[in-house]
Amino acid sequence: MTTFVEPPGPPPLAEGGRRPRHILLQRARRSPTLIIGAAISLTLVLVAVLAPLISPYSPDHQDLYNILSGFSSKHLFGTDELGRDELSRLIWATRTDLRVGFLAVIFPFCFGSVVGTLAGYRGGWLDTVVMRAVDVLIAFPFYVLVIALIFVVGTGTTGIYVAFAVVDWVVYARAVRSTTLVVRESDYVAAARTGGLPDSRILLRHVLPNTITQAVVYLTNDVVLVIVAVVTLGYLGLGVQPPTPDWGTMISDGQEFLTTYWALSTLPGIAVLVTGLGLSLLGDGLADVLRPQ
Amino acid sequence: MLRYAARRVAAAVLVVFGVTLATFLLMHLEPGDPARAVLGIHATPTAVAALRREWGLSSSLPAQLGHFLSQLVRGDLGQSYIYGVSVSSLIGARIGETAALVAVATAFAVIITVPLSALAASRQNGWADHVVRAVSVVGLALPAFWFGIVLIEVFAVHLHLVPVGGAGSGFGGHLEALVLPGLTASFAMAPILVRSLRVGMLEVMDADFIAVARAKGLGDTRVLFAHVARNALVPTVTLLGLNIAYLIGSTVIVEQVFNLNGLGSLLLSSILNRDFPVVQAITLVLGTAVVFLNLATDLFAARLDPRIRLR
Amino acid sequence: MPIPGHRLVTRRDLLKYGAAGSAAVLLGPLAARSASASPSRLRAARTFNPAIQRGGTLHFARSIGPTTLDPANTIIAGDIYTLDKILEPLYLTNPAGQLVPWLASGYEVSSDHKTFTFALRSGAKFSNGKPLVAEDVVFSINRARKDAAGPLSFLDYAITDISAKGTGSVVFQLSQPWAPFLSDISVFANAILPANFGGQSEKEFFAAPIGTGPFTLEGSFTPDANSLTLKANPNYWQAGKPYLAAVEFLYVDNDNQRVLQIQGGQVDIIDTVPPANVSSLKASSGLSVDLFPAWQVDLLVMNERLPQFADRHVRRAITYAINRPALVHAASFGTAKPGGSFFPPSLEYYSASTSVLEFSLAQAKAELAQSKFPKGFSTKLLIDGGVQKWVTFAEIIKAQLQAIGINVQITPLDHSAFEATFQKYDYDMFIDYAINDISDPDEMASFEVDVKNGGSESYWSNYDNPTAINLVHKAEAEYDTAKRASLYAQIQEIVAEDAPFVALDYPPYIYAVSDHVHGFAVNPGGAYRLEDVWLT
Repeated sequence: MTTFVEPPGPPPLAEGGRRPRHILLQRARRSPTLIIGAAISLTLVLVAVLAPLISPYSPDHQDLYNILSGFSSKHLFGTDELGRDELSRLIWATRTDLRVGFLAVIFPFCFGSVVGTLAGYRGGWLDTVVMRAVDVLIAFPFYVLVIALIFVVGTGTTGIYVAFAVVDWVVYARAVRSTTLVVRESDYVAAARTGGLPDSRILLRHVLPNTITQAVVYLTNDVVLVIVAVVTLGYLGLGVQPPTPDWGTMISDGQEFLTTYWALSTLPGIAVLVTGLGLSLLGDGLADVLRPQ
Repeated sequence: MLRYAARRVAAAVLVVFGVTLATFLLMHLEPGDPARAVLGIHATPTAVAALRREWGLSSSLPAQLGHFLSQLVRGDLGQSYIYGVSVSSLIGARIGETAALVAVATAFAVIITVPLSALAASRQNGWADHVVRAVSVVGLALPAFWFGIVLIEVFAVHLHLVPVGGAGSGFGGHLEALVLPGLTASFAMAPILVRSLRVGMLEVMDADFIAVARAKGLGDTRVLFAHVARNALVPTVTLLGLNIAYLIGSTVIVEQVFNLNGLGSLLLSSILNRDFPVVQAITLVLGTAVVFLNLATDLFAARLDPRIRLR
Repeated sequence: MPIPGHRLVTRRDLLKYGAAGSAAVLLGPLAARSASASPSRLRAARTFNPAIQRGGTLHFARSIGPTTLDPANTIIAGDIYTLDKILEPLYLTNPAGQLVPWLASGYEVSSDHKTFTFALRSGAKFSNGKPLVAEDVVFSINRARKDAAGPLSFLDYAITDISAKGTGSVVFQLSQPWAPFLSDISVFANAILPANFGGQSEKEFFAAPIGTGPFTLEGSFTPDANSLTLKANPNYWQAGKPYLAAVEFLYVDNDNQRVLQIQGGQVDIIDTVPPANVSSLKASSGLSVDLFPAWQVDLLVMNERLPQFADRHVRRAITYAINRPALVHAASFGTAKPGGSFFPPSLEYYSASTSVLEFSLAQAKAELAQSKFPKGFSTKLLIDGGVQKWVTFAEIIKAQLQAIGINVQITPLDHSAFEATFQKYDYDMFIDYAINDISDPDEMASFEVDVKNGGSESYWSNYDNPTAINLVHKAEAEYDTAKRASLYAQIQEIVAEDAPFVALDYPPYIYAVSDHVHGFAVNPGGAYRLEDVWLT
């Protein structure tokens, strides 16, 4: 995602390059941000996983003579333009969007972190090539590139995964590279190198554990942005394809009824906000915990 | 400084070329045919062939690329398949709108960011801080198009404070018409900038030289503005530059919602219609704008903070 | 909403007439014959109304803007409905769906039906004051028919020669008797320009075209502008008209935006009102919603090159399984009518007694049981994903076909890819609309039934029923109206029984009009005259 949420500066290293676990847990328990964020996120994940059990109706069941009905005892949040139960669709959309969001960031996260670490550590031509590639990708207006890629690959989830794989890894690469540069200059790593330890061991045991925490914090924010992007693609008709429920298409489908049946567009939008809130608080909480006080 | 700048400019030019090449390849990979898109159900083989010939699509891909590049070097951006006029005239007519939108959005972003960050930083962990942080988190998760529609409903339809859409006439009218779109677009950047500036300010406030300034007896406000802001500015300005790229990209969405006749909406429709020359040219223009804006902010940051030049 | 990406929605799918189309003439009675349906709102604009006020500017928000004003080289709605205010043809279709003399005051036809002589209306002149003469007609229609790249040039295929007879008459020679000729002449592509562009180059001319129409272009034409202004033509041949001083077209492709603009009083008329907004607009004060019947049918087309759709029982089962009244109720909010015959009710020779396969799950299952695929099958439904309406239709159809064991996967493509794909027959089923641009139903009949000579291999379905095709050819040649009606009734019956495509619904043209506007009406082809409109 080419919006840069610069996480707080790299955590200085303690002895041996890692922080003791019990200290982390202690801090975690005392951080309201982390607790609230984790609670919200966990609830959403539970809703997504348990969707088949807790959803009152099938999200696809149409009732063409009962469209756009308001809140009622039979349909808590009313029905949409095809008579489908809104609450059920919201529940199933949580499942779809969380799944798509998480899957879409896996490749960027892994690839970006690895590439960024290597580029930062090795420097030289690898660094130049990677950074130039990053620059080119960043220069493309985000939605333009994503839309063009989706047209090539095809709409739907495959298109989304491919598009984000191509576009989103750059921010991880960039952030991780910066951190790696700093870590590389640290006393401990310098000592390890002069000591003759092989690069791979240094990378795995000392560099990566520090840079990865940056990437993880960034991940929790990136998922939010990816979910918002998927929702926006749904608005453009290029995201998750019908009839799979997804917040984006629900908002766009409900747009014509904003003045009359506002729930159809508003509720999915609120769902996106709550998800974003939960994940961001989780990310902030993690960042707080990992940063030394 | 000069060497650093020259190095960066050279890199920028290379990037722009990369963007151009990538766009060309991408567009020609797309399934679908501009001739068929235009003719629709009237696509007889003769008509399709005639149009493709007219648009130079019947020659090989390398030949087309060569033709495009040679035209580009001469400053000729080609002719639109759909509109039949020169692409430069199309872009010239629309670029003002997009530039105005970006400018207004950036202005809003700055107006929102600075006071909020300062408030949050100066009242760290107080309720104001928490509210600002919560609002910025919510702002990040806000889909721009949805927010725009809600703004229209509330401020234009019900309160009649601003026009419902379109570009407006006259300077005042134009500005009025950009209020809601600018606000919507600024929300793409403001939350991130608020978080960054707040953190930056907090870090600086912890720094030694601030303690020294306070010890000297300088009041809090003076400390805040004279020292904190200036030092926190560097990462934020860098961030601003980086995010303008995203902002320029998001004009595609915002222009759709508010029916503005800018480059973003033209780009979107041109991709759909496979109007290759227009897509090439606009991506080039937007890409160049992004690259050089980033360059400008980087150079500005490098000037303020010499440590950056060493990277 | 999905990208309003169907920027170049082509509103026409005219027929390509093959050489084998032996036809006789539809005589003058065609013009006098009344259409089988009347529009829900037809303003009596031609009678003198003392309340008519002159002057004022009409603000009209449209969904698509023009890219060119050249009638011979476009088929896009945004172009047609702009240039037809400036350039006019010899005959025209009125809001009731009838052909009326326009720049021609009448015609004579030879006994072998191969020579038409049109008398030009005396007093007709171009906006620059120059009178309309025969040379102008000869130039314009020759230009249209000889333009190889022109999408509608094939309509003039039957014309072999056009010549001026003096200054007031034009003689057309046809290669054969040609029933739809008068309808063809009325199409916008055959609009009349000054001979040799009045001395200008083609490019200069179309930057500021000079026509006989009620309006002229203000300034010079910019293809990508947000708006376009027309000024009243002081030399218009209909004395006293236009009543308006000017028309400002605004291009607002966002549906919500258009609706909000008329509710906000920023514009006087909007086109393409989304059905979902009809009831809220009706409830708004100061404006009304007009539904005009259209020669349009939305079709679900099945690819008969594939074994499952070559099987008639399967196609009939699918037709029975689709609950068209429910679809129309939900998807169009009751504005459209459920589909039955492949002719829309507003089209001449529509037969209400066609044995439509009405929704019946029991019948659907029975038909499927008799087919070679009694257990059902999986299939793909191709749609233009940029059009919300098709997405909604597809979702409804998918759910309804599930009930008989047919598993549908919806495959939306963007506009360009969609057009390229179904035209390559790379589809199982697809949804699109069919339209008749002219008053003569031969267009739809040939295009959708005449697999060899209709121009589209039966709307890309490959439907081939020789009996039906023979009837289509006979009907083209028949000029007794009762006999013709009977022939088209038979054709509709056969098509209903064979079910090569499912007529899903008949959507109307929906406009929202401010109460200040009077005299606005749309013909079933989608075109509207603005010289009859006045503002209060």
